[in-house]
Amino acid sequence: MEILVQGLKEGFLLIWQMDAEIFDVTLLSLQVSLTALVLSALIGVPLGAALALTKVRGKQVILNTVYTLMGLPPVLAGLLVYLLLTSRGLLGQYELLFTPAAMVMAQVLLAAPIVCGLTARAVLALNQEVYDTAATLGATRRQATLSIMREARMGIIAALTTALGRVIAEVGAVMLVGGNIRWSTRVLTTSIVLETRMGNFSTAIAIGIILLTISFAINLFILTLEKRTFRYENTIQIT
Amino acid sequence: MFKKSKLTLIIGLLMIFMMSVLAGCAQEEAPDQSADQPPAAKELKLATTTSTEDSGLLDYILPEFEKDANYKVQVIAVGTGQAIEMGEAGDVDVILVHSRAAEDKFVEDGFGVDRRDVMYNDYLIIGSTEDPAGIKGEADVLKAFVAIQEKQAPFVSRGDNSGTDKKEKGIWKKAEITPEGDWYIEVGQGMGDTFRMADEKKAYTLIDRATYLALKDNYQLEPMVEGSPDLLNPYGVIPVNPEKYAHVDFEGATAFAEWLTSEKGQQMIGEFGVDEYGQALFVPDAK
Amino acid sequence: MKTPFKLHNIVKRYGEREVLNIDQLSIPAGNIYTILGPNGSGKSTLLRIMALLLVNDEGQLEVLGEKVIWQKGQLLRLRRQMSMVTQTSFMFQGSVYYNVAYGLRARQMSAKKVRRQVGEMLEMVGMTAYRDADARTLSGGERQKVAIARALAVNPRVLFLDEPTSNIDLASATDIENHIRQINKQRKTTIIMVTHNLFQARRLADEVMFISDGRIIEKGTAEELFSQPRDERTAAFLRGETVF
Repeated sequence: MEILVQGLKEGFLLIWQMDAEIFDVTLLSLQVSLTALVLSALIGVPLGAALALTKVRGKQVILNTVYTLMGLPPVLAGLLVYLLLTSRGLLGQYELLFTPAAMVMAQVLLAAPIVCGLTARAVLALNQEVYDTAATLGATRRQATLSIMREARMGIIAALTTALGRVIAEVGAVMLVGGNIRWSTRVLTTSIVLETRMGNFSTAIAIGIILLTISFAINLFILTLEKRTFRYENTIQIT
Repeated sequence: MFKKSKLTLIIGLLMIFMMSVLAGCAQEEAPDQSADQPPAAKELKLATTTSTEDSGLLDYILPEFEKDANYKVQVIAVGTGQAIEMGEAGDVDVILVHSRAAEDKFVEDGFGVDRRDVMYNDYLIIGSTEDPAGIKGEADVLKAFVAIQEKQAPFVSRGDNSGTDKKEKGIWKKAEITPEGDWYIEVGQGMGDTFRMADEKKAYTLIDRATYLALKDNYQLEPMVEGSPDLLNPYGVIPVNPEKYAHVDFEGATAFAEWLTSEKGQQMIGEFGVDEYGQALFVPDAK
Repeated sequence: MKTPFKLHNIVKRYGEREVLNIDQLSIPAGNIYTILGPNGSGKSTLLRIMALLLVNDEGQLEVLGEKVIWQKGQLLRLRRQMSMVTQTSFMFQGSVYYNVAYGLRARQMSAKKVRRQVGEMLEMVGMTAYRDADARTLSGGERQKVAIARALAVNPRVLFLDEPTSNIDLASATDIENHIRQINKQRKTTIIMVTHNLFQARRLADEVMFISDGRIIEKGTAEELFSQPRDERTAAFLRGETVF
């Protein structure tokens, strides 16, 4: 309990004093995870929609694979990227190992299946009438598809927030492929591990609080955006 | 169908419940059964560095101590910094660590009493065969560090406040160098991970001999500097002060410290590793 | 265009089950053409094929003078001359305005024109006050009126109605029937309506087709079919003996 209180105090102090190193670490966390999220969205949303909307052979098997990859252990994702980037690996010549780019790659590997799978689920939950209505009103195939995505947007936003939550809190993969190098690839989660290993529990808690605050702020931002765009969203009312 | 699966669930839950009850009974009965056996071993909590556990030293010597003293040792293997913190919090009975300065402060602050030298191991500088700083065979580690800094040759540092890390920082300080820049890579990870990263980056690093011998076959880095007096790494054992924490088992802690520094304990430390690596990993040095 | 729809040996199966088998059908322009039949008789399937939402398994289909080859460009061109109102019209998430403007925006009409057209349509169905309301909070009757405004906004040559009043109260239903009649008279829109409501068919239809088990039983002018059914099954349905 004492450590927790100490951690809270230290956390506020770290933020208040804008400690250069913690600022650097926080910024990198955001950069890496948001880049990974954007890339995952660019890959996952169209892929998930395509999986849900087209008839391809073995669609069920592909979907099942995607759902399985949603639970990919971070360390395993990290290891796969590591083996790809190591100097003896397939992409070794580009010397990407222990760089933020490698961390982004590992996080995309973790986040893209989540975005893809949850997008597919959100689209699959819609009825035929969405397409029919768009089509009978003269929408082109592209316009109708966009309308379907628009109807599924709550689910897609849920997919993106879930993915962001996973990558920003993830430590196994970024530790492995990033290397936790000070001033270079150290992020909030790897800092927590390091501080804990060094016995600086209150600092670890403090960094944890920064991480949670960031997650809270991002979700608040999304929620406000949601409220503004989805004025017409009906919510269940329980009386 | 639904009913059947529900039934299976109920039976399953019942079985788990019954098994847990039975397990509970078995535990409760245990003391009765052991009435005519020697009294149950007391538990002793030891916080130590990962190097002693990872090297296999503890697995080798602890069973003998447990037999001799009738204790059951619970090993908590962490970094030196964390091990000392645990001692300061009274979470363990005794610590076995290697960071002389931190150990002395631990005793000075009244958290520990009666520190004893146990053994030392040594560190070496390893690096790629390309040897950009030209330090292979250098007898004085201080000169090697100066060369590394001058050549800005990549050097991977543990950077985790561990005993090894403190050792390395101490050498830089003694060489009057503040390591800074792209070439100095602080990774904040354990020895094994640091070794792996140094290998990947073809960088120099400071490593303890036990870890090096255990892992060297996986990687390409080779010894560059060894045997320099500054590379020795003494281990000390310190019981936690019972005046600070009444609940700690001071008696057991003292028994452990005495056993480690006894003729038998010292002999076992000195022979450990010879079979496997052809050389001892730790050198006993109790006075 | 004398006959917007010509069907020849149209067959539709779901798996092994044949749900529709229409040997010959021509639907004339400018009429209110009613497809009458009990539930599960295949009327909605027929309507969806004519609306180009469902591909037939066999036979030939001619829509608005073109032989349907189910090619992307052709489908869009033909669909843009037709629109549809269904039993529980689906409303896109958003306002009434968003929904009525949908088809116009799909045609890339300028914002100004969209505003004017949506305004006219909402006024026509008496829903102007609901312009900014959430389309999903409307009552059944209001929703159907919005659906009609939405379908008519694109100025279709053919309007499909699939049980347009079966889910709403009597007063709204009467209101909507009046709109249907008016649309047909003033705009000369061909209306093809599916219903199982005999009385509604009687009130609205110029021509009627009676369908059962996926096959045409009888067709003709409303007058003929209602006064002198030739087939016993039609007669039974008209007497109210067919349960639906």
